[in-house]
Parts: sequence; structure tokens; C-alpha cells
Amino acid sequence: MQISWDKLRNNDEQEWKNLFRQHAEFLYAYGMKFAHNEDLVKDIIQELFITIYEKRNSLSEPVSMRAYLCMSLRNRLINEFKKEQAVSLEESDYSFTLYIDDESADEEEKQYKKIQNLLNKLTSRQREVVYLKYFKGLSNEEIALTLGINKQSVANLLSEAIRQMKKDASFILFLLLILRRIIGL
Amino acid sequence: MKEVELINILEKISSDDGYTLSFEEEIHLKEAFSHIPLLDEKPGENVLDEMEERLFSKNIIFEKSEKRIIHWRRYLSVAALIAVLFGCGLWIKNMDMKYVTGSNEQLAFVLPDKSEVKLNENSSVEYNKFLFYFNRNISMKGEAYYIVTKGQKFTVETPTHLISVLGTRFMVSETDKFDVFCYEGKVLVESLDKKEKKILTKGRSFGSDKVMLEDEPTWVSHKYVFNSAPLIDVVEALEKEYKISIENKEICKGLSFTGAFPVNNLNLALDLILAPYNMSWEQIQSDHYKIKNN
Repeated sequence: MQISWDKLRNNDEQEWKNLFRQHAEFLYAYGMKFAHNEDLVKDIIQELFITIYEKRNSLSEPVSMRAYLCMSLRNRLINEFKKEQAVSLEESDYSFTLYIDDESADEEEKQYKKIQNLLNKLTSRQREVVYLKYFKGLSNEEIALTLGINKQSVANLLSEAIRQMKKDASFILFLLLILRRIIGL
Repeated sequence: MKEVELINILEKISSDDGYTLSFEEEIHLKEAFSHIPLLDEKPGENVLDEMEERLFSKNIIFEKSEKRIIHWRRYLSVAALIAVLFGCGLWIKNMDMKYVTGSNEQLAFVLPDKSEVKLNENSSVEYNKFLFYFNRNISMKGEAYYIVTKGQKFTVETPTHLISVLGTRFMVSETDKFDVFCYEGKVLVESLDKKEKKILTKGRSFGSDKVMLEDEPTWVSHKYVFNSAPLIDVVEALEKEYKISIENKEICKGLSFTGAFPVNNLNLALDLILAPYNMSWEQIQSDHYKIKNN
């Protein structure tokens, strides 16, 4: 559903609710990848919406609302980590973790757990890009906006990540599993 | 999608840094990833509802938020300022000083600038101890004698006139008729309606053009206040004040007196002094009196 920036500006409460509902779940999941701290993530999401609301008149419509929200959430979280740490962090030092769901009852799917090792070998930044790109379907432009880097850097990070994973034998297994799955369907 | 295709895509990506995937290729890759059971944290059942509730209802945001959160803070600072001002006002008001004398009472006191004020009977003087440091301003009724130390303008306000000086000695009386007597320096007297204005120099008064010879008001030097004084001394002081002679003073011996007597009413003065000892008096000649035991 397309959110109308004009309606938001005009204080249409329903439209604000739609905006919140449309993005909250994704933002929550994304935020939790940085820090497994539900309260922190919830607070920051709320602050985020409050800030956008307060700035709605001075703010021009974001090219991509989703990327804008992701960027704000990410910056706020990283700021929060910096505050906690006495020694200032290099931006690349933030952690971004991806976990494979091992609760799955499906025996076959448990094979995927091996992929966890693959993901663990990537840098936080690579994991983040892979997550946004392949799991969440953001475009390179949106990812560039979110991370505050240029499009080419996003493409580079993605290919670095794939290359890194390909080095591992279990990647082939991963592909085979995927194929089996697809053919099985 | 075939395995080969996927491997091709991956080959392309890893061999060429700048390679951009076609739209279709990206779809393939995404589909492959979508089969990974990634643990994507979902907010608990009511978490989103709670957040929405907090965001949109009365508490935090929207509509009211700007007014509530931000404006409250502004109101709070205004309220604090008002409270502080009010407190200061109270504190300053608390520094109001008032001196009142009843009949047959006199009072002398020193102002914060070391100026002296002597109040005659049935008079009152008011000033604010705090504001006096910035503005030497006094309001009065009745009769008062001022010995003002040199400094900033010193003003005395009566219900009808304004008297201003820099440093001088003067007496203000408005018991019967308003008048100011200047004993030293210069005094400016103005009526509040600005119609009358007169500058007094030493020995001049506001009410008449006659030159005074006294160096201070007669009532000022009359210090007929006694504290456990021998009654006989009190009677002698009375004789001197009223220029009379009193017989049979001996019966006062051994008695002591605490109190004051007026200087303008002999009968009253005698009554006041003698009544506590159960004594009375009689007039023998115009300036001759006799005390007797009842």
C-alpha cells in the first residue's frame, strides 16, 4: 500500500497508523539483528516515529520510506552502542548477526543449519547487506541509503559476501538443498 | 531454475566485482535465499499493538505530543520563573519594616544606611529593608525627626507631600498641619500634586518664613522614659520639664518607677507617675504643686 506523504503531513492519523504497521515488523526484526535487546529496539522505533512526526513539515518526502526508516533506525542504534562503549567504536565494529532457525521440525531443513557457519564467516557489514538484499529484498539504492554508502560499494559488498561463502564446501550443499527443494515443489 | 543457472549467477558475481545482475537473476538469487529458514525476530503478539497504542493514544505522540511534551517543558520553565519571582516578592515583602508609636511614646531607630529616625508619639514609619539599599525611600505619618547620612537621594513620603534630601537633619510633622523643619543642609519639599514646591535651608520651615533658633525639635531631647528609676528622680525631671516646683517629694523616697510621662500634659503626667503608688497631687499655686498619700 502506498503511503501518502501529504496525508502524513496533514496529520491523518490513519495514515500514520498505516505507516507504522507497514514498517514496524520489519524494523523490529532488522533492529534485533544489531542487538538482541527488545526494549531498546522498541524504544528506538518509537523515537523514530516521533521524530519523523515532529519533523514532518520540514522534511521532504523520502525517496524510499523504507530505506529512510532503516537508515534512521540503524544510526540511532549505532549511536546507542557508542554511548554504551566508553571507547568510541569504528562503525565496522558493530555486530550484525543472522541466525538460522533451529526450531524447525523438518529434518531436511536442519541441514540448513550448516549455512549458519557460512553466515558466521562474513563480516557484519556483509551479513547486513546480504540480509537486506536477499532476505528482505531491498534494492541496492535502498541499501546504499540505509548504510550511507554509494551503490557501487553495496554491489561490491554483495559480491564479496558471495565469494566468501563460495569458498566453503557447505555452500554447494546449500545450493543443492535449494535445488532439491525447488524441484521437489 | 536449474542448478547450473544459479551457479552461473554466482560465478558472474564473484568473477567480476562490477557485475550487475539482471532483474531475473536477482529474482533467482532471492528465491534461493528465501529457502533458508532464517530466524527473523518477530515482535511478541501484543508488542506492536502496545507500541501503536503508546504512539497514538494520549500518552506519547501525535496531536498532543508536541503540545504535551514540548510545551509542558516550556510551561514548566515559565511556572518555575513565576514561582521564583513570587518567592522573591514574598521575601522582599517580608523585609517590610514598620515602626509605630502610640500616645506618649517615642521611638528612635537606625536605618540600614545609618541614618537615624526619631518618632514622636502617634506616628508611624514604613520602609522596606531590602529595597532601601537601592532606593532610600520611607513613608511616614505623624511626626518624625531625621538625621540623614550623606549619600543617594533620600525621600520621605507623607500622604500629601514628598520630601527629598541628600544628607541633612530635618523634622516632618503632619499631626495637625503639614510642616517640615530643616535643621541642617537643604531639603526639597513637594506636594504630591506638584502644586507646592519649596527648598528649605538651615533654620527654615515649610509652613512659615520665620527663622528657627532650635538645633533640633524640642520633643527629641525629651527622654522621659524610665526604667526602674528612683521615683524622686522622675519627679525632679517632671519639675524641670514643666518648670514647676513640687512639695512633699520626700514621700517618694525608696520607690522606683518604670514608664514614661508626656511633656505636653502636666495633669496627665502627674497622674501617670503617682497613681501606681496610690498617691495624688494638688495645685497650690500656678507653678506650685504638692504630692500626698491617699
